[in-house]
Amino acid sequence: MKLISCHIENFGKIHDYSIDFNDGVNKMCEENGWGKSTIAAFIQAMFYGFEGDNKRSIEGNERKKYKPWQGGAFGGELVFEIGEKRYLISRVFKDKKSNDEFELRDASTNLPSKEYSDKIGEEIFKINKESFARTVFIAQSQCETAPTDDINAKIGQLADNSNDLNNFEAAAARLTSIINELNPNRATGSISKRNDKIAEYNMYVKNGESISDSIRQYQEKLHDEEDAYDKLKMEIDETGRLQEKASRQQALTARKSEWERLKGAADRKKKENEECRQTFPGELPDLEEVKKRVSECSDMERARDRIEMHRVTQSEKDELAALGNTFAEGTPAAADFTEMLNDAKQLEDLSRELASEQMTPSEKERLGRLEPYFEHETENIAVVTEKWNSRNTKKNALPSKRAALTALRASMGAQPQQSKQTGKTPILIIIGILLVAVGMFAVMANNSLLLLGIAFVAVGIVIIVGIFFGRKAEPPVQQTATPEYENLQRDIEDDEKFIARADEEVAAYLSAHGKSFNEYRVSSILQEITAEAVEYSSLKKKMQNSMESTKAADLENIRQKLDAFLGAYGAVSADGKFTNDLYMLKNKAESYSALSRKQADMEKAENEYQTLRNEMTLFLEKYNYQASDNISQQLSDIRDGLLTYQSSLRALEEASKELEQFEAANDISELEEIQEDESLPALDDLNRALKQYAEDREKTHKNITDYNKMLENLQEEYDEWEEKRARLEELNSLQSVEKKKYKYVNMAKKKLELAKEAITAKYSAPILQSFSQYYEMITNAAATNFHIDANTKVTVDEQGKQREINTLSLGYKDLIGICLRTALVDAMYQEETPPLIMDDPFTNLDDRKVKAGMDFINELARKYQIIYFTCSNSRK
Amino acid sequence: MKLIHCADLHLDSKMDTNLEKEKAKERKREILDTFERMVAYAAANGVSAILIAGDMFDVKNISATARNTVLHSIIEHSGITFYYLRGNHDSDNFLSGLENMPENLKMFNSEWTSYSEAGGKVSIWGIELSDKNTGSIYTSLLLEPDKFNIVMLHGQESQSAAKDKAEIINLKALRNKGIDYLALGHVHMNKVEKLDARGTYCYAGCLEGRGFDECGERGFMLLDIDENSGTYTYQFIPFAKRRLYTVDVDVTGCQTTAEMASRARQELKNAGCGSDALVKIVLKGELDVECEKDVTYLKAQFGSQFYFIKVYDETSLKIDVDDYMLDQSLKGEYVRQVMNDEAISDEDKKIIIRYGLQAIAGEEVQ
Repeated sequence: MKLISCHIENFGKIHDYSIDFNDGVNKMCEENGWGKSTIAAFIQAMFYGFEGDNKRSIEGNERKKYKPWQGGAFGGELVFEIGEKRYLISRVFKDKKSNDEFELRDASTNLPSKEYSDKIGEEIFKINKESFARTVFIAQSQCETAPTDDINAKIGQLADNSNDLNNFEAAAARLTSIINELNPNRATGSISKRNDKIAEYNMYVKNGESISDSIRQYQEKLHDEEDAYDKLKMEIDETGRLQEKASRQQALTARKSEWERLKGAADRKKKENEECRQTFPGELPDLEEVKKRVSECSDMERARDRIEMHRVTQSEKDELAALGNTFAEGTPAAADFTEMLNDAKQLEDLSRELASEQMTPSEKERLGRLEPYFEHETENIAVVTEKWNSRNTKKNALPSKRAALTALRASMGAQPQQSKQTGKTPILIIIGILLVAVGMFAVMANNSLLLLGIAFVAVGIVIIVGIFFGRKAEPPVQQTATPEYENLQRDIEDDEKFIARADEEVAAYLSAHGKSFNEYRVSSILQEITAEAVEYSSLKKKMQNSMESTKAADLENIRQKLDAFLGAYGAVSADGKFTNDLYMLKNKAESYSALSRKQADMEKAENEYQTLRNEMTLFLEKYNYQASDNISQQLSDIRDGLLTYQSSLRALEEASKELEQFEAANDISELEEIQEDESLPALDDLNRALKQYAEDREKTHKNITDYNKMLENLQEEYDEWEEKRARLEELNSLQSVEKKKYKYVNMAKKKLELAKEAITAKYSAPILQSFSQYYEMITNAAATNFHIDANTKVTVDEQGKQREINTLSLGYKDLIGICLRTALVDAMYQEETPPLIMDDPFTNLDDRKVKAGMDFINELARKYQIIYFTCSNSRK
Repeated sequence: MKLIHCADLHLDSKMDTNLEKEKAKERKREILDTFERMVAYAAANGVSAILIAGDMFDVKNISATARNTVLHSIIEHSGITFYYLRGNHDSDNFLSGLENMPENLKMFNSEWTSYSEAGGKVSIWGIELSDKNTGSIYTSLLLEPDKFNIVMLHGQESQSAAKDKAEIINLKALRNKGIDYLALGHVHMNKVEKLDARGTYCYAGCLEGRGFDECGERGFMLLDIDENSGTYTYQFIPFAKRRLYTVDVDVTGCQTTAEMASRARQELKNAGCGSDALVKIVLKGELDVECEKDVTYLKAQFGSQFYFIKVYDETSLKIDVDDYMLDQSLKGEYVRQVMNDEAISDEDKKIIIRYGLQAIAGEEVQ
């Protein structure tokens, strides 16, 4: 197979570039950065497309790496020849693999060809892209190589028939993955993880083994409690039966006791009744009749009480006899007494009136003394007093009138001397009055001072009169008087006249009544005279009345009437106290009447009592009783006895009835035959036992419930334990399966590796031969110290030991890689040889080896088409 | 009179051997529900008595739900008498702490106990077997031949006595005792056989299958007794809510999972598995070592078609070493490498070869 030409439309930095390829070596020497590696990558991409779309880095992601700088779709065409045919590959790369376009045409006819698919590289070279890169394509600084599955498969020429060697790595990886997944020695291995789980479950299951023992123990306890419960149930039943029996026996005994009690009660009542009956001496009196008699006894008692109440004493009898004489003709009527008492009162009144109307000697004397003053009086005291009062009024008003007059005069030009005279007058008047008063006091107080008193009075009067007259004697001052002045002057003059006249008249009146005039005592004297006038009038009237009275005659008439009345009953009023006498008579009459009534009442009560007692006595005798003194009590006792008897009779009847009813309601024969079972426990004991059993049973029931609950819980635990035990078994089973699988997978992997090694071992000798040939070609040195193992791995003898080529210099490593690649290609492509694409592979070689390398390429060009890129003319 | 004979209900069984937690709970409820349905069936069909020949419960300490449901059913159906003979699984706490046992619940103990039905014309006898009474029960059973005698026992049938085994029922010793119907429990498969010239013995089987060892129809026996003539008829009433199937599928010669699924589909169809069934597919036969087989895929494919599915792979690998002896490929070399290793057993060689070839072929290694 060989490349004919290619056209790069867009690919990396290369745009619209075409190149034709020749047979043998096609050398392209361009400077660094020209795009040699891009052309090499383009050829590879034409056969294999792009890989590493999912890689982010530009280096790993070819699509990104070779996307044209200017953007847009990229790709190109490649013409190649295989066998006798030429094909044209066209690829357009887009954003992702699924959108890439691939087309294959027959270059001769330009018709689309279906002979190869878009995996044309793998289909032609029977090698994947990775293997292609490691053999046919020798990129710069990637001379070192290692066989892949495809390489190995290709080496073994196995790809054509089964392709299975290609899958070794995948198969080994799959088995390794399973081993890792299962690995008991890795923490992530399922066997290892399960071991932990199994240990955990083992522990749980081991710890839980006691659950069944606990269940067994609690079941035993439960059984014990159930047995105890059943036993208690039986005990309760048995005790219940005994209790019923004892109860019945107790009930029978109680009934018998009751029967006995009823019989005893009936007997006792009968005896009591008989004893009661024996208390009656004869026939049983009728209770109602007895009650009636008892009631009548009350009447009898009341009669006897009345007898006592009305009983007449001896003194009363004597008094009654005496009064009987007084009132032999009967007692006066009450109206008579009333009349007589009125008369007696009238008599007293008349006597008193008569006495008051009679003048006493002193009154007569007084009347005689007053009569001369008032007998012929012309003017009565009231008129005189009035007159005197008027005179005093006027006199009292004079000083002010005079002052007014003086003031009027002054207003008219009054004389000074007049005013001087007027200023001395009041003082002199006062002195005069004082002298009169002292003189009169001396006259009245002591006869020894009489003369001195008179002298004082006389001097006083002289002073007063002197002043009075002196002033009068002064000549009036002639002036021109006003009407007002004149009227006032006239008024004063009238008053002065009136006063003088009144003084005269009063003095005359006083004199008529034997009184002397004293201006300053006139008022009190007039009052005395007024009192005397009243006394005179009264005495005068009394004297007239006594002279005109008829009371004495009336008085005598009444006295006679009263004397006649009293005399009719042997009473004589010696001192005229008729009222007392009448009342005494009246009392006697009343006493007589009362005593007479009392005696009658007593006699009536005595009769009544006796009648009743006789009847009672007869009644008692009827029933063989001897009447006692206290019949009432006797009858009450009989009544009470009857009541007691009746009560006892009723009690007897009730007791008998109760007994009859009991006997009717009960089987008496059973009671008569009752035999007490002494062996039966006491009912109280049985009740206590039953109570205890019930408590025990309740306790047992609670225990049963508790145990059941515990067992339920334990059963749940046991179920869980069983679940885990089953799970443990499952885990163990699964563990066993996986352990076996682990063992088998390990063995399978081991055997698979052995198989692969066996296959590859068959081709290691030819590869070593080719390798040695090429190595000698480049280095002119024998490759005797090189080895290739079954894995196509090259080692070199160094210091007595096979060492990996990694320890060699970079140049040697490249050299060995180029030789090995070529040897591998020789072994792999024995029919269709691919073009070898070399991208400056000798950069690490020294000049001598570079020359040899170039010779090596020329030699290879005999067998392979070679596309050789370099940037150095030295390696051209 | 009509009677139901059932046994081995195993109520409160955890059901978690095959089923996941939620489904196990659901199945547990279904089993309890089937018991209730059976009682309702009895009430609707004029059944006078239900004989429960042991293992009504699965565990010694039953849940409150199971206990209360059963008691409620019994009390609610006072017209039906429940004869309950406890088996080796039965609960200790079913009636524990119960003040008064329901009147229509009749129990048995370690001594022969009998009850009368149909005015005394039918006698129901029972005894709970234990290591203490197992030797004496046969001689102490004295039946009145003029009655229709039903005897209830729970244990494993045997034709002869077995020493020290409490739950063994010696059928031979029960012959000619006057038994008309021997109502047995313990064996979960329905079985009816002649006991002697007069009687029949019957295992009612379990009411619901719980595991794949209890496949097929499950239910109870319905007896119709003419108490006057002493004759009776019986029939098995399939009553389980779900049925279990174990379907063997021979996949010999299949090269792919698809081929195996096709064969399984046909076998499931032949077995008549319904969508509510619990199915176990067992792959059998020889498969080529290079065949493609994905059991997980197979299970997933049928998982939605049934209530429960599990796939057992009991296939063996077939390998012809000569096919690889001249094969110059990696595969040929690999097989030769394994086959030539005498330290590996033949069976292991098959597995190792299979793993290696699966890895080379890029398949899942299983």
